[in-house]
Amino acid sequence: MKTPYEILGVAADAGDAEIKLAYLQKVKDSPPDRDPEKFQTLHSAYESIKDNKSRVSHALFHVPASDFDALLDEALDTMQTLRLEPEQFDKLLRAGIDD
Amino acid sequence: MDRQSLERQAASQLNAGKYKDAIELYKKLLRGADSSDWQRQLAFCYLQRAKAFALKAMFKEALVMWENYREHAQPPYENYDHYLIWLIQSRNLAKIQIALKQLTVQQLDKDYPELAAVLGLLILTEHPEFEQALPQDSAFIAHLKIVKTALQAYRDNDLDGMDSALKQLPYRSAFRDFRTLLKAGIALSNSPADTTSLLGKIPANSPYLRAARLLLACTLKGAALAHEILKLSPPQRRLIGEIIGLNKQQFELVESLSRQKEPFADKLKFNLALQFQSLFGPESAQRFCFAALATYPAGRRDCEKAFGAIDEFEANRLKALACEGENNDYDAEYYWKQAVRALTQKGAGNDLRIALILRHIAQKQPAPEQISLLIESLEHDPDDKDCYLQILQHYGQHPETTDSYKEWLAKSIDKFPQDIEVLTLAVQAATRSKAYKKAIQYALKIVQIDPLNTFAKQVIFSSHIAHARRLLKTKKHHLVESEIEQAEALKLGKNYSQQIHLMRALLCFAAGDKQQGLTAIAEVLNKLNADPVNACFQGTIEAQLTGLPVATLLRELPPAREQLLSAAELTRLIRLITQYSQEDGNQELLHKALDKIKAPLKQSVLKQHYDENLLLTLCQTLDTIKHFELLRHCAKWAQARWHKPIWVYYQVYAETNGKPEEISYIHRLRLMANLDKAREDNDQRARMLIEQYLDRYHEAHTPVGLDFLGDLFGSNEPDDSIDFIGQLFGHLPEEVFRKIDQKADALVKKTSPERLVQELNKIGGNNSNLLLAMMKEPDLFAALMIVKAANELGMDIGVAFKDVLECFAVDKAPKSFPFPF
Repeated sequence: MKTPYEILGVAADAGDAEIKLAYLQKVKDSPPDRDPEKFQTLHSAYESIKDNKSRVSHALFHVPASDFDALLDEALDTMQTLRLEPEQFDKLLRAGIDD
Repeated sequence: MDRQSLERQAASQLNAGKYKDAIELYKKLLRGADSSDWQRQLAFCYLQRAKAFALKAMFKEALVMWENYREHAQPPYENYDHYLIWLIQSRNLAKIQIALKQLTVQQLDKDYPELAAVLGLLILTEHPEFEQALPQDSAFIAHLKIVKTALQAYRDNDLDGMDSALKQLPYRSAFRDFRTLLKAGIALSNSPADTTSLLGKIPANSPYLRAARLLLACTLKGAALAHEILKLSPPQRRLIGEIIGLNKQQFELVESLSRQKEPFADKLKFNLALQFQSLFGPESAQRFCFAALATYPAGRRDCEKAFGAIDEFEANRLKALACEGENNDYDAEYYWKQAVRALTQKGAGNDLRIALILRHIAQKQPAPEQISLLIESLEHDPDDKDCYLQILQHYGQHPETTDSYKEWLAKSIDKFPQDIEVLTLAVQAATRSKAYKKAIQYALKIVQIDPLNTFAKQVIFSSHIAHARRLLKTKKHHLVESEIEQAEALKLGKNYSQQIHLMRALLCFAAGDKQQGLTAIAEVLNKLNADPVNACFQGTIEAQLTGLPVATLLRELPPAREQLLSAAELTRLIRLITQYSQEDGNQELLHKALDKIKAPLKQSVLKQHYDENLLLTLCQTLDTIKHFELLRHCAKWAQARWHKPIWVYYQVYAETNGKPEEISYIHRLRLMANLDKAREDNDQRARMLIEQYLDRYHEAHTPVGLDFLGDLFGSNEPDDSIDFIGQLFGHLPEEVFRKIDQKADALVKKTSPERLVQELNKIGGNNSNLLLAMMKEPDLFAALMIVKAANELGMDIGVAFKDVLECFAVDKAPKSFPFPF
């Protein structure tokens, strides 16, 4: 699950103006009539960190979900371009029989 | 057994699917004589047995059965392809070769497509030697040559050559799925989405399906890849890891996960996060571990070892959040308070956090504690307007906290002198206490900030009018016009202009030409009100407010007595009552004005069949001004019509004149029964009103000085869930209840428990336990009085005295008196 900062694409130490600008830019891409669900996500994220008090409150009362899948996403993000070599294709055919 | 019987028995076993027994019987028959029929039946039974064994993966047994079938059957033999597949699965290579040589072109190319597909895969992988045993003039062999050409082109990196070879394979080739698989594999480098799409075309019964699934896993990333790869065998995992380029650490992670069962335990995830933090990213790993402490607090030491000590504040914060996650508000509050203590000890710079935590705790507290916490939070964060408004809302709810409300309102105005919300509250408070000059003052401030603020303008208008009325009443006629002019200058609209005319007409009557004034008053009232009833009401109110003679004024108006109000006219009346209640709040005046129109209003309620919501609004308005007589009338009629808990509430409320201490036992029963109904119907409004009224009843009846016992041991009230009264009298209609209740009320005043016992003993014989039972169980006395009341009213309620005694289990046998001391 993403933090409000990640949703708006701002740093954790961003100020009011920066957060507002980021929010407005995101909303331009996902206005409420075109993508209501996305807009709601953006709006909720903005409301939770729009000023200092909100940000302090968010930091106090929000525990990021201990999302193990998110860790796995980072650990097993195989970025390289794949290429199936002929020997690997052979092994694939054989591996399909083995069990 | 003779042959015929044997034959019949064999056929019967065959038909029943008991092939093993049928085989023995047919063998017995064939030992005695030869018969092609019996041979055929025997062969059939062997074939079924073979299939049954194969289903259980007992291929050796299946093979034996099929071969037995073949001995007794004539060619062409059924399920020869199955036989071959079983041979392959039993890995009997010698027999496979022999069997393959017996395959015809027809069988290989047309009759056995599944076998052909399997043979194709085996020839390409583990058993190239099978090729020689197959009919060389078959299409299968021709396609195999094409496939080999394609594979060679692939190995030579000649993708065009490969494509061109694959195109030669016809659609129905045994190597169709092989072609799809190879194309999917090639697409992996350019477009994994294409790979996925192609692999979706390989059917579920294809021998290439497993290879397809492995290839599909290669298109995945992250958690999806992890969850998929864990389902594979170790060699398969190694292959996938090799294809997608997992590094050593990534592979170690996958292997660690594969040794565990999903879903993974919190402890495992925590430990893996620590072990592989460089892979996960140190920041992500730290975030995960800190978050995981909420469900795996035992990990704290390891967490601190890996990421540094968690300070006392953070430790308490995490514990508090963990408790909240488990809905354990009690412990959560403790940890939050510890967190506050830690912040206080840290020194300056933590005021905002302390304030926010106090407000957070306050949310879950009952009202008095909530307000103390909010007030305390303002010491750390004094500029929080919401906090002030919450405090004001709390103090504004109860008359006993009026002074506190005033105190906090003054603080709020001081702190937020330009805030419209606060100024609006100030206006409302000033209006309530009839401090019109102050109300105007605050309203003018609002209008300065927001010139279009209608509420403020209306307040200014109302305040000038109210002041004008007071001046009229105190006969300071020379000052009235100035107030009227100031109200007029606001230019609020047509209805307000008519109000101005009315004031001028009243002034004219009071200070000038009486007849002219009366005519003008009547004219304006008739313009303002479409019907005589509303005109009469408004006229009466205005006359009282301005100290003018009511009767004189009313004589100028059309008579209202025989009129009925339409729904729109009733709505107007409700609005007028609300308006004058808010402006002046003098209930006595409102009651007197309503008394003038009581008859037409009552008739209208009875005859006009108003919508339920409209009647509810009327009742709510009558409740605001505490006119219980009219409220009783409305509620009674509405309950008879709609039978809902809200109407029972208003009936009881009106019958007791809004005094919960006057609720009788029957009233309580009705309210409790309807509270249950309100809960079932999800009628929140009725539920809340009934609960509050019952709460106030209980408060009014708590024995003085024994409240602490109630707190220790629970409510002093009888356990309402054991409802003998409900069991005995729950079947009675509301109306009947009400009548019996009134009678019972009257009887209780003159019938003591001892006297009741005497009366009952005369009827039913001596019962020495009865008085004691009544002392132990007050509901018993109440129940007996209900029956007595019903009897005296001549009502057959289907419950007699003996039924009550039976219900409460009061028997006649004398018992030793259970004195405790």
